[in-house]
Amino acid sequence: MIIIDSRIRQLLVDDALNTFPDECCGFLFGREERDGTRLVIDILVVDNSKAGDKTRRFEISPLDYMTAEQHALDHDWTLLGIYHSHPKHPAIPSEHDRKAAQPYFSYVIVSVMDKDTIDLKSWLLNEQSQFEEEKIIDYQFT
Amino acid sequence: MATVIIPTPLRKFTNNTARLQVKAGTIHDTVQELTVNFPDGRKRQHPLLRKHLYRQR
Repeated sequence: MIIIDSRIRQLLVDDALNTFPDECCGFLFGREERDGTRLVIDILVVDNSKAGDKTRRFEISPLDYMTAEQHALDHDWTLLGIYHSHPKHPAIPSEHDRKAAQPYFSYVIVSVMDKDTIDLKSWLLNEQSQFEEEKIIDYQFT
Repeated sequence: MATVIIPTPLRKFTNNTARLQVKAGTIHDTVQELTVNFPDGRKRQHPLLRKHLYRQR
């Protein structure tokens, strides 16, 4: 499971709304406990570098990926995964998402049907390179 | 010497090593050196690390 608190959730939703109707993307940083529970501490917004139509695809440049790995090392965090948005589509990974996915990473998808209909789901590749849903725990700071 | 940052998804093959200094002078030799630095048991190179570093033909 992956813990996404209200502040992080808002950052993800803001990026998805600001980028709509294109897909947004970025990185998730945090810590992984011994039991596999992941806690997202911060995110890094990056450009969708997909050439052409960005409404149904996203791509992250190798330079942004290197920056994210360095950012994690600088802060002593773990690069936990990648988020992206699905404008006007559910938070279910496509076959394209699956083929581009790497093992270990959490893939958080922010579905934006409209500004009031937003859903977040997280996905992890299993040993057979198929996506399995990773439970998101909402944590509200009081 | 160059410092290579191991991508996070591959660190399970590198004993969680995040950075590695390599002597190689080319990208090809660097990738080769990585698989030799982290061998799999009795084998000279790590087959799973190789699988993720090289495109299958």
